[in-house]
Amino acid sequence: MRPLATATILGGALGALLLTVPNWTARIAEAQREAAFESRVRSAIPADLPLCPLPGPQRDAFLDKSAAALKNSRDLWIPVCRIAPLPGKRIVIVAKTRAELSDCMDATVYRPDNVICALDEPLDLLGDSKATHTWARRESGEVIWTTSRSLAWQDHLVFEHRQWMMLAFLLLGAATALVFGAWRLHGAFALRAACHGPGEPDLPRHSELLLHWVLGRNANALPGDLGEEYLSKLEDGLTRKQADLWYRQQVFYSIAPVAARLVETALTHPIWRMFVRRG
Amino acid sequence: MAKGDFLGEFEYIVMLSLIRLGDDAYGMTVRQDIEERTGRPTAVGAVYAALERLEEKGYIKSTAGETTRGRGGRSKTYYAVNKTGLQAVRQTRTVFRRMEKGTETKLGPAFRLKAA
Repeated sequence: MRPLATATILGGALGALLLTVPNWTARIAEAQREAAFESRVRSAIPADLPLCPLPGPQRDAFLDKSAAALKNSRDLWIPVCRIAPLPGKRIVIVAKTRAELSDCMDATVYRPDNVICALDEPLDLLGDSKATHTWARRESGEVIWTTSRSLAWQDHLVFEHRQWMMLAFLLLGAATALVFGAWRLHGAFALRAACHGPGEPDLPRHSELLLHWVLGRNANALPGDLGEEYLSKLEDGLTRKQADLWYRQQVFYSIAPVAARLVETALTHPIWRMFVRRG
Repeated sequence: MAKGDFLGEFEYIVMLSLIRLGDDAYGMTVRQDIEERTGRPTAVGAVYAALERLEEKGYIKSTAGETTRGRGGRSKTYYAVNKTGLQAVRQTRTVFRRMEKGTETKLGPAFRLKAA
């Protein structure tokens, strides 16, 4: 199987996971919030709740202020006010839209004292649907509830879960790389120590370690060839400094093809044949 | 000719070097041979990556050799081109020659090397 095919499949699988799993987890999270609300609604509601202002900008401001003041609450949903009944002995002009309400409010000059303007608008779930984090509000019976925390909802929640998932993958990858790197470094020290006997050239330490670190235990001939050529260069009259420079350059320019070969080998491992037919 | 039978530029160079070096073909000698003849610096890592790939394709065979001074006790790995490998080299050479046909007016006659 070709390395490109394996890399494409692995990348595609990762992409598909990142695309689908956050949608699923976000739905679960919102269902849990819904369940928390249902459970909270059944509990006792304080009798001293203030009355909510009538629907409109005043109520929005009141709910925002109330939600912001609930930072230390342990419960997700908190009752903030009771829906006030429409005042009696007054004429209520019911506006269907915010614009109509605004027109009604502006017409104060012509509005008698016994006429009030009210907005007939269902309570939006989100305080600010464009914000990444916002307070949610729910109506139940005569009470308006709000979340005690500003949270991500709907598409923003999916995006947040996707970010968390990417971060988790990144951390997992970094941790794996760190452990693998440390294990390889330990092996590199051991390999270097094993190859340094009497009569052997004193190769540039860091470059030699780097070479062993990249190659791992399986590489035998390559470091041997470099050591042999290093020695022959010294015997041919190169100064120690020149031979060291040559060795470092060889290691430096060998890393990319060796690493690429390791990746290629990993991606062409027979295990991937389970997922792809041989082309 | 199947796609996999065609050798890449560097693989072709390595194969030619292995054929020329014969029994003395191992990483160090191949690297030196390529550097001498092409005049371009060659990393031993690139040589080994190509050798491994060629062996994987079944064009060459490796055998463990002896260890010498400077190798830190590590043995040499000798490489030899097998029949399939020779066939791949021939096919690649044929392709190059076919592609060269009709380019002489711009490139000059083929295989005319300047004396060093």
